[in-house]
Amino acid sequence: MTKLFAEGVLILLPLQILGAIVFLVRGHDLPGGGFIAGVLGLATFIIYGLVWRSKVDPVFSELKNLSFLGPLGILVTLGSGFLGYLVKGELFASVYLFNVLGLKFTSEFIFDFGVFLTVLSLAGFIFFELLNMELEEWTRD
Amino acid sequence: MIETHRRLNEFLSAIITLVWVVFGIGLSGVSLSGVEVSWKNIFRLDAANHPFVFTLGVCSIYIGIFSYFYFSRKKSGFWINLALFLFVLNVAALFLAQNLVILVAAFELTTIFSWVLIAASKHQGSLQAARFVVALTLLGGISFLAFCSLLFKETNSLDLHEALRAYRLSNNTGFLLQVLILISILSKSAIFPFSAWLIRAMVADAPVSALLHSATLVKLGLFLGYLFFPILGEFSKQALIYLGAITAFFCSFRALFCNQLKTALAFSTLASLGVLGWCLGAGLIAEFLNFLIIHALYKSVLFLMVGLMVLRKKGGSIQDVATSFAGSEKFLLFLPLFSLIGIPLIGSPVKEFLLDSVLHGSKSIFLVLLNVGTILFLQAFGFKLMRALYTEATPKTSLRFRYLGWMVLALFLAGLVGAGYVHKVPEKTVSQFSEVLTLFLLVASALFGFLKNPDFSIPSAFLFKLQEGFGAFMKSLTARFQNQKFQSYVFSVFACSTALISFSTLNVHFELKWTFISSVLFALLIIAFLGGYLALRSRSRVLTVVSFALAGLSVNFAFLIFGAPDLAITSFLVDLIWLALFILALYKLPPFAKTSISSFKGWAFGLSVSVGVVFFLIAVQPPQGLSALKNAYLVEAERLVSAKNAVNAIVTGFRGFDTVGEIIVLFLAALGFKALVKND
Repeated sequence: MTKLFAEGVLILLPLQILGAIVFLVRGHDLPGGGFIAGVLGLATFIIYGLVWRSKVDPVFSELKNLSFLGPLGILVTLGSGFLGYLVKGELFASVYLFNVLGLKFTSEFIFDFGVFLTVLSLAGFIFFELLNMELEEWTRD
Repeated sequence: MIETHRRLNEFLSAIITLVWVVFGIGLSGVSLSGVEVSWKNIFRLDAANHPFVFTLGVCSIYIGIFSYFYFSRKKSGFWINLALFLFVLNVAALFLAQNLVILVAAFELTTIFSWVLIAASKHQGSLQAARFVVALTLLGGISFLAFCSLLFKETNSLDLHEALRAYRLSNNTGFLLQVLILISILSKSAIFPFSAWLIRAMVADAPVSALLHSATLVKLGLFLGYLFFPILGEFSKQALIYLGAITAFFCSFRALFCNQLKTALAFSTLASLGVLGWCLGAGLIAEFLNFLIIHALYKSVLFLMVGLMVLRKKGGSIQDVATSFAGSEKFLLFLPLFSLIGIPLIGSPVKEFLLDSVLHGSKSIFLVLLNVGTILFLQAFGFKLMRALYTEATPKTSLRFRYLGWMVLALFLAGLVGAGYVHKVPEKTVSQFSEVLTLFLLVASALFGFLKNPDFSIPSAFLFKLQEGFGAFMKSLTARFQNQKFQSYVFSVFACSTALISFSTLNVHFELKWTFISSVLFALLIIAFLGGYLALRSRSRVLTVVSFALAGLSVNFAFLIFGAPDLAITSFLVDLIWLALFILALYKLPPFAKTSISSFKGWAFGLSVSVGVVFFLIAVQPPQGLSALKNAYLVEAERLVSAKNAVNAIVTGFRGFDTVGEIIVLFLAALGFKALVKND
């Protein structure tokens, strides 16, 4: 792993996260959505984890602690379904909320956001747990 | 200085206790006299809540006095006494509330008090236990809030009786409402599947347990059930009957074989709560109220008995009971124990009423069995405690399995014969049978509880062997998964599936006309096929992972060609991530096992199973001519979900339930992974 690559990862990290958010927001009308955005965000963290694992452990453990976002994401998803019930009397019915700068905020967007949180944190949790299990073992053979 | 502080603490505690006791006497006195009191249509004391208020008042008096002596020597004694008194006020407000907002607020407040009082005990693990209790009871709180909001939305009235009347007139049977109120009842009353919190809450001090976990807090869920009984649907009632019966049976069993007095009392409380829930579900309201009052009184006294043992610095196990109390005290303690057993006049024969109602009503074998078991175990528990008052002998270390087996078999046969019998004979004979059965159970439980003095524990050697055997089994399973047989199977399935998919896609989209795109697709499929073959045949793990990634990549290109960028991006990213995960996970596996199965056998096995899988896939192939559905999705996505991306509309809108299920699967996978890593 060259130093240039490692530094490059750090610079690209916010950009990649921004990319994930763009994918999340535009998913309603263009290719994208919560699942893709979650996976993209996760890929970012994985690259970061693989490159910087040995150097910045505190940040690493902070990332691991974010696993509570998974159940929260499921709750957000269910909550968006419940919103449909409260407004239209039907679970998971589509509810149009408001429009900001051309972006439509609907109950589906909240749903997508929940999926994003779940995918990002739970898959990330598995990855970080695996990575934390002694590094020497996987470089052995 | 410290002395002054202590005296001040005691003085303030005494004042609080005095106010508390006067309040308790007032509550019980007013409710006993049957007076109806009302304040601005927000609080009202009437015939409906008299029994609950009376129970609260009476329990307050003696728990208040005991709490003063228990806590006054402690540093934070005043604060705990104050919190307990405020909790009593909170519960009184809940019982008297006639307004949905007050009802919800008081209900949520009890959860907070419960957290404070359990955490304040400062015993080991009390904070974690308090968190656990709040997590489970808060679920009930949230669902009750949702229930009240929905009720308000349906009826447009905040007045409790008005709302109930309007809802009943509307003839509405909202399933969601039923589920929400059911969760509120079950979680607050610790009926299965929410039973665990009551056991964890036992780290609290004895007066707290006496007030919260036997007399008031655990009854709140049942109070809600009683309050909203007029709108409880058949589903909720049946659920209460069956869940209550299951709780009663298993918890009474655990109570009988538990050696720690406080935990055993908690289990018996759970069993009684199950019986109360069952009563409510069966609509036996008079019996329900009768047992509710009696249970609150005797169970809180028994919890105070544990508190007394703590004050006298005796141990907390059942063997320590005999040395903890003087002769006259032992005599007095017989009263609550008679109540526990259910001797008429002192105790409530509610379980026998339930047996009678089942025998006359649904005649369900399952319920008869659970009821017979509950009666036997709970009564035996009462007799066991009676015996423990006078004998210090340590119980036998284990009850042999065969006794238990015979007992369960006998119960089963009794239920079977009984249920078969009551189906055929007239009602009068059923009543006689029920009486004889009740008497038989009393004698049997007395013998069981008194003579055997049971203590059930699984020998540790047995557990060890079980664990060892399981470990060996898992090891052999891993070896089997790595050998030739499994590889051949996976490869065959892979090959057949790709062939099938390529055939069907070519057939649908190109009508078997060979074009340039078909050639590209064909090339991609060949790459995927080769990737799969390499992955399964190679002996190097890195090569395995990379070849699989190659297969995935070619499939992603195929998605792009078919005009599905969403799928292609997702699939590509997922490929990237699992590549990293696989590399990490594969190095955790043991070295490759040497295969003992011949190659020919492996291939034969793999082919035969995969041919079956292919036939299954053909059977579940969607019908042809789906273009109408496709067009409908494209049009409706814009109209219904206001989304131009139809894939997103399907995932988050039309098939929202599916997606929720999928992310829950992901959650379960993460949980399973955590469990595996922990056991490693």
